[in-house]
Amino acid sequence: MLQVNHITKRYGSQDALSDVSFHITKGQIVGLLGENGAGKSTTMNIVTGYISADEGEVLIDGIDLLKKPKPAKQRIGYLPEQPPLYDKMTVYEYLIFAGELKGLRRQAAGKEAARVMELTNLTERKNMLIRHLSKGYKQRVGLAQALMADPALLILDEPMVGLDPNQMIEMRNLIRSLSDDHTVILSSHILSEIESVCDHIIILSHGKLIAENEVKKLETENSNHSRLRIVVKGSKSKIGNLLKNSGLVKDYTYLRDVEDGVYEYQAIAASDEDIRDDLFLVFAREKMVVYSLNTEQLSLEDVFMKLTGKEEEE
Amino acid sequence: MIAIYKRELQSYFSTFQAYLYLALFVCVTGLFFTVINITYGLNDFVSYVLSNSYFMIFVYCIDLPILTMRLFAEEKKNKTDQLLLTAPVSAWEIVLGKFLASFTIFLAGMLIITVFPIIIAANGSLPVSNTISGYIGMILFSMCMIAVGTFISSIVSEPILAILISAVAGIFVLLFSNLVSLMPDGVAATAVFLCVIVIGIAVLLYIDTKKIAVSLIALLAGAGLIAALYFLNKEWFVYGITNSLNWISLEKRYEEFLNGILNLSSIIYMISFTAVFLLASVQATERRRWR
Repeated sequence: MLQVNHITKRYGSQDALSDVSFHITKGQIVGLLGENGAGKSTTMNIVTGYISADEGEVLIDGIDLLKKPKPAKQRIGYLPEQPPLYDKMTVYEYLIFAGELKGLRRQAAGKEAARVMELTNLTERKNMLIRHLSKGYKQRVGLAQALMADPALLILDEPMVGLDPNQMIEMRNLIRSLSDDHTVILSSHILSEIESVCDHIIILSHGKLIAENEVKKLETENSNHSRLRIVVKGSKSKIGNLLKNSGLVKDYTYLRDVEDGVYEYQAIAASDEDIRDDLFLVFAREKMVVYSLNTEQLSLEDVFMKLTGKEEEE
Repeated sequence: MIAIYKRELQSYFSTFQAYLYLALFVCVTGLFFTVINITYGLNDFVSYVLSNSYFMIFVYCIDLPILTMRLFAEEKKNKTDQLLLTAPVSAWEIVLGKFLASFTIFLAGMLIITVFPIIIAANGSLPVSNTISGYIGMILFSMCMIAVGTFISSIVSEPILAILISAVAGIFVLLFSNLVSLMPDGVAATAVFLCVIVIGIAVLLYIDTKKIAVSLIALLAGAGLIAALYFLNKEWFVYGITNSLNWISLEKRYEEFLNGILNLSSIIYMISFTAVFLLASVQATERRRWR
């Protein structure tokens, strides 16, 4: 659906994006993550044709955005960070205009406007001037505009900004429902939102792509195999001795009493290898029951912090 | 393009802009008509109103800039240009849609003030051919100035800045003939003048391409052309500056229409002038993508 090949964008001597490449297949919901100034909006602006890259190419359904902008842009619906709304138009007039811009005839644009207003719960406000709408509703009008003419690729820059919790849930559900027949790229600062909506993540940092994968794989790949959590039934002293003398563990910390005679420990492996099997056998040989033994799973936030270098700073 | 044209027209009437422009245009024209044509009993609307220096300064330095100031500047300011530039429409369609909307409002004003020559015709004798030629001239001249205003709006981000620069451009165009009369004549002056133009083009090419070879080639080609022109037509160099500047003067060509002369080359020149400024607006719009 979307192929971004080696795009670079410079502002003066500063690289806003440096050799960024990624590929998004049909039906994916992709989250674009990065700290402020990482290049998220620049990437979105390049992919939508608002600005041009200094190097590289963007292919939408195999069509080069620079060489054939019209057919390429016909496949894109874009909601920028600040929705491009004309305050003095009504919601309906604005959507008709957006539809006509995308090549729909007046009648078809009317039908399409009715469809997207229904989808975004704007029907009751169709005759209101946009300037009289709340921020949340303006955001919906922006999304409705992006949905006009039913583009295959939706690019949403911070779609949750300014929404109250209920509106955020509605927006999240709407984006999820759109994934059935659309490809969606969205950026957000709210990592939990990205985690709950997206199945794929792209992380940018200082204009460079530093990670691209499925959310679960990203969490697993970046998990720390050297940190384990173990829940064992037995006496505290025996558990401690076994951990200390196993040769597998460099250090360990008692965490809590899970229940009577069952304790949870955090252990740090002596090597980078996965020691779970060997550690299990250490306790099994002593006929001690291991209730659970897991490497520490990182959340998306942990992964983000780790990859963008925030962890070290803190 | 039609969608952009319709939205622009709607936008003119959903704000004060069209009303302010039309009200000022009709009232000031009516004032000149009353004071000159009615009070003094003069029957020539074109010669005494449309050709009046104060009237022209009002139209081209105050009223038309009101019409063109927001075309692009406000879109950039409000970031609504993102909708246009990411839509499957070309920069040409955007520029033409906006330009034609402004031109339509201007034509509406011209249509309204047609009532004044009609009043003269109903109560006396109107020099019809002169009036028609004057109207055609004003429409063409204004078309050029709207194109200039469109270009200015496409290069700035603040409507107020667009109106100020457009007003200065209007004064420059109207006073161009006076400025030309101050220019020196003679072979040396013409040669220096042409060299300055060639150097200017070479510098612009360097700024645009950042390639010194391109600007050097332009510089050498320009110098060659000047030398060839000198050996082929030495006489032209005597009044070279004034002749060439008078040739490009919009106001001089407008005067022909006001004097009842319908000159085809002037019509083609004014249409070409408009096309050049619209092309420059397209380039300015496209350039924003590469900023």
